[in-house]
Amino acid sequence: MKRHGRLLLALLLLLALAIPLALASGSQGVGERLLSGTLDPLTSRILFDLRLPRVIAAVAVGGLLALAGALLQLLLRNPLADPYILGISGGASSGALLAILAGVSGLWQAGGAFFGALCSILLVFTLSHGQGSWNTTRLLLTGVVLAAGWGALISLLLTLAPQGAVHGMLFWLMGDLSHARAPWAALAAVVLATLLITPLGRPLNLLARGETQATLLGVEVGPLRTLIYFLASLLTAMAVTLGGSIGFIGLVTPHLLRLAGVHDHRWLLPCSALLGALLLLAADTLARVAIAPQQLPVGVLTALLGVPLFLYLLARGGERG
Amino acid sequence: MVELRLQQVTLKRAGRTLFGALDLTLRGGECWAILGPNGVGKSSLLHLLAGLLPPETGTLTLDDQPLTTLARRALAQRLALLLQQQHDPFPSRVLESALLGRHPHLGPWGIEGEVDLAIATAALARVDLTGMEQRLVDELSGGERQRLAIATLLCQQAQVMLLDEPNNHLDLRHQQALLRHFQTLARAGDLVVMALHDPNLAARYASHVLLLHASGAVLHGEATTLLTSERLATLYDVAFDTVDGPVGRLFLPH
Repeated sequence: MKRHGRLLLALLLLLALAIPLALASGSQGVGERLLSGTLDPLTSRILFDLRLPRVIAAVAVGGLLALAGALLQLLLRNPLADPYILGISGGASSGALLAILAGVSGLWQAGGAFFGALCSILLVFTLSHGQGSWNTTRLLLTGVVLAAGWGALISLLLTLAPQGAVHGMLFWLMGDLSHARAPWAALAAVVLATLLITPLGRPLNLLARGETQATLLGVEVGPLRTLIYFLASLLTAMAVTLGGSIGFIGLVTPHLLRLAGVHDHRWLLPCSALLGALLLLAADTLARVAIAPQQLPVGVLTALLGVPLFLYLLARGGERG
Repeated sequence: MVELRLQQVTLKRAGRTLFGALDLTLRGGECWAILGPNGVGKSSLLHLLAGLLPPETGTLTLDDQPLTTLARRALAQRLALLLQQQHDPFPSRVLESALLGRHPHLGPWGIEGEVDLAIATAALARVDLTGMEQRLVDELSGGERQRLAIATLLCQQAQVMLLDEPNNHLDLRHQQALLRHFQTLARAGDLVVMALHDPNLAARYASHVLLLHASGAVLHGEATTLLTSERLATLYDVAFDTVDGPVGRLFLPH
């Protein structure tokens, strides 16, 4: 208990330290100008109009994805679940793109993403839940095929889209935070979702042991599972609307915490949100400065780091049978 | 005393009738053993008694309340079921696992307190897992995992304990110790119902037996009168010899 509390506090402190650090990093040094005591209009514009939204977006999207990943792993009872791998980000992207092509925007676009994510999770859930038993191979195959299908649909939509729009739309495919606008709502969403789901940690611990065991210990499984299902879809949809398809944060974050000995979902879920935020913020800052002044899409970076880790986990899981 | 009553219950699984129109009353203070060959529905019967599997026809009541009208949490405070070993994709620590059994007794915002910790520690001591509280479940052997599952069930402190092959994976010493413990709990007023494969364990620890035949026929009653080598021969389709041993009768299959 105390150890977990200290970990949560440490993650909170690290994130509080990382945010100003990320704001100060970039192709334009702002540190010395800040130290001179006066904030000239250019520095102020770089800091507050360019970097701050992106930093907040990284924090929010990282938290959303990690929380969605932890919930999906619970829902599918498989530690390899992740919104990106299972094609749920793809579903959300397709939904959002369809909404854009239909000529609507704003909230409708987010609604499209939500609907796409919902459909994807439902498909993965029903198709991989053969005869009541969960099977990793079947789950991953379903996810891979769905992801391929959504990828094709996204390519089709991009081909049909008017010339000017294509460049901005490409980020749905690779995940990029440089277009992120209005990230504050997503930040509020991740905080609210964490506060909502953490008190349900104890029934969730039971759900991780399987439906039957949870039912026997007094959990009304149906409503709880529906809640997770909608919440995971909503979180993924918000993350995708803001940053496109960013992979592996949702997979890696809960896994790292389990390695650190956090198994209780009352701690795992808030710690996941914080660590996910921290990881994506670090990745995005790296993406901004690695080949500055050129910028990398952060999804490329997370995939480059995430793929080997995922393969390692898959191989290790195979050894254990 | 707690009472679990079946009235005219028919149970089907995958389109096949396991048994029809069963009348049976199970009371606190009794220790039941369910015997029968593979696939006759011993587990299904336990799932039925736990309210997990609805009967095709008939009613099932716990202290005169229909099981279907009870909320899962209220039911879990009074009735527990030990499942056959299950795969756990998210192994946690031994103590955390045992504490899960306290869930039905904690309020929605409750946190496990001193009392729950004491109950879990006692349950782990009962199954001989003291000193392993901080071990990860996937580092345990099959028998140790089974003992942990029993500890979790004991933490639930239910008056009705349904056990699906509780002696699975257990070595002889733990088999004897734990079955004796359930026998003691039953004598103190709880209701214990366990599916077993060994008629000798049933003869030694159960006060009542229920013989579930492949034909769907059900015989139930006191263990001393119902357990004979002839009835077991019919049940298992194997001939039995009866030998008088130092602790009671022994049934030896040919």
